Amino acid sequence: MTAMISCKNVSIRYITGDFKDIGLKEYFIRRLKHEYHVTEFWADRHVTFELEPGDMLGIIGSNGAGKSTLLKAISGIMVPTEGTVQCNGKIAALLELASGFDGDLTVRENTYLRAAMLGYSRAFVDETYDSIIDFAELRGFEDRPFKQLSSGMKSRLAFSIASLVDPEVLILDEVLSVGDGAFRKKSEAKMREIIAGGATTLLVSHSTGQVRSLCNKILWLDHGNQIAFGNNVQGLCDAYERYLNTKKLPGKDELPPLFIDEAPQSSSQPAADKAEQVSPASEQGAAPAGGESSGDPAQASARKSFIQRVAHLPKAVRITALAFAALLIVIAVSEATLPGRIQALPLNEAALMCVNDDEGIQVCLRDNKLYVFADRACTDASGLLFAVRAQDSHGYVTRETFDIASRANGRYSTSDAYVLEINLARYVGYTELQYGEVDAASPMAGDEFDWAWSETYTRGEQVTLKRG
Amino acid sequence: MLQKLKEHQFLFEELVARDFKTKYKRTVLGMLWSVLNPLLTLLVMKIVFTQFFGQTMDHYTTYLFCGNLVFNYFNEATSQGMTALMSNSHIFTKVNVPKYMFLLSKNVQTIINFGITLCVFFVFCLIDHITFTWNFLLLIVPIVFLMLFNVGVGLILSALYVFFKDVQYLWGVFTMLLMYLSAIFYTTSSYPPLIQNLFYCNPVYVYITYFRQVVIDGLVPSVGLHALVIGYAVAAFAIGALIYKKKNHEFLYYV
Repeated sequence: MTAMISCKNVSIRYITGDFKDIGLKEYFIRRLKHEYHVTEFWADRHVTFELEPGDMLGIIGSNGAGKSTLLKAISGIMVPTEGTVQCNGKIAALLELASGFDGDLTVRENTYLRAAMLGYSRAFVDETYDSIIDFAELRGFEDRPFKQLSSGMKSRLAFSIASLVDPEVLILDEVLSVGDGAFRKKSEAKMREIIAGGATTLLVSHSTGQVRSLCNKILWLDHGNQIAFGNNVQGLCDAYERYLNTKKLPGKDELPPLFIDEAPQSSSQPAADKAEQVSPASEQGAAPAGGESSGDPAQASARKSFIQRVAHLPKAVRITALAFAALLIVIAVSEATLPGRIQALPLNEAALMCVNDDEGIQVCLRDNKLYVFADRACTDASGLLFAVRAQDSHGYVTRETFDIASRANGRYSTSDAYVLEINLARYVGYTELQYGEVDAASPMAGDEFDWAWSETYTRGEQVTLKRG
Repeated sequence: MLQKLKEHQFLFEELVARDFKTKYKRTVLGMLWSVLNPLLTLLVMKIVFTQFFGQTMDHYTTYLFCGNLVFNYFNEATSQGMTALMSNSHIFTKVNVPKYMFLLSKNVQTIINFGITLCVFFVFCLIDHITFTWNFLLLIVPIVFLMLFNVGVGLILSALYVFFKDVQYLWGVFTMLLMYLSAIFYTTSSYPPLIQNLFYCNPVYVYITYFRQVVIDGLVPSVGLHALVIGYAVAAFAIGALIYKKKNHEFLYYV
């Protein structure tokens, strides 16, 4: 028979007193003073055991013995600091049941959320929702906020959701002690049903009575150390009860025999068949926990070269990357080749476009903006109406006028000049740009500007474009 | 990765639903706040900078809105994303689920907000007489990469936050600094070219600039700007993903 779960020399270490406890400031201060120490704390030390399909393991030990930590390592939430955990099946873990619910959501919403966390499918939950609520005896409470439930009700719901699965490995942390007496009976019956279905089960319990009646193997932990592991459930439970009374750990030679011959359980054989049927599926990544902690081949394949990885990227990713590359090329080419259009001019220095000394006007081009500097002395007296006329290749014309004295257009003014900023971006696509001064009193002559003076700018015609 | 995502699709949907329900719980206006919030910010800024500071620029409302749109999305996604991992610690210490789910579900929420604001933005463009051109289709580039960038920064921050709670205070100050450096309500054209180029060190400014060039100036942004837009996003995401990959099993010890 292949082992369903095997823990080899598992040790799990917590670190206390590092920066998570003392904060960043204190961390640096202590570092500087050479007073920085961390305290190690081994929650589990050299725990070794193996379970076969259909086994039911009872884990006993006083508080802080490392039971819950061990279960976390088996369920894949934690990675052992030393040693290996191997698990060949789909796991359903029921750790500290009532936590992990959202108090503000309703019972119904929480049911779906929890079921999603346990990895069920939506269809499955839709189907089983009624039986979950019925089993938890919460009919009529479905739309109540979760925080209004009593703690017993919360645990009942948690148990009902979790016990619905048909797992290969079931991890139970103190869950059989939830609810009132009637519900406890019901949950124990449900538990036996799951176990009878061939699941390998790990049960943490403080009740030796429960362990005696349910389990066929037993693991005794004390302060992280493995005191005993064996199938002599009755003998070891007796020893544990003696320890609870005397507070004195038994020596190696005082322990009862760890393994005694027992008639093989009838349920274990079909369970083994089932495990073998399912194990190929779990290798394909159906069971993330098992895959992560055990998978040597998976790790090897993860270290492929970059090129191989690119080649193995999903098609969608490759197509998207290609599309972006193509887009970039199109943009680059079109920007470089589109002729005769007024585009963003890549000039960091202002380019002097023209100077009209009579009017005291300078026109500069910078960052795709036209700057008109008008001498205050000249413009104060007469005013200035600046005009822009643009024409595209189809003969379409746009006109704009800017009164330099008006606050709306004269963006800046210095002590001796008004400065007008004209954004040329709106003229992208036009092929010809004419600008200059028009008469403020009668700017138009028919359809066209009546220019006092003007310059024409066309891209490609570099004559009028002098760098200042 | 994609396969894993598919496997956890149900969980993802439920997380998104949960985040959504808890966010707008007990607000009278609910989702409407996603629209109102940016509009009110915009109104305040518009009043302050046109009335008190005399900013008179063409399309100043659109100019402001571009900045606010991008910055608010960045700010919301990162500061909410920061606590995504920590606030779900009660879940991932009990159940073996991919931890980036929590961040992604928070991000979906902010993306929806961003989408709504974006629609309002286009309405404002209409009011502000912006001419819509085919160039607007290019906006998909900064939007997609801004999302990626925000997820990346969120990954980094949420991981750091687990290890150092101090990050939340630092980040608050840092985003404020970033806001002032993002030229949201002023223009950089009055600075010398060297300083202007330094602005591009700020990713948020890069995304804002892309938006402005397309929307206000009607330009096709340069290849260099495209490279920055894509580069920042990919870099942030790669760093974030690497941290998550490396520290995946260590988070547990620090919650």
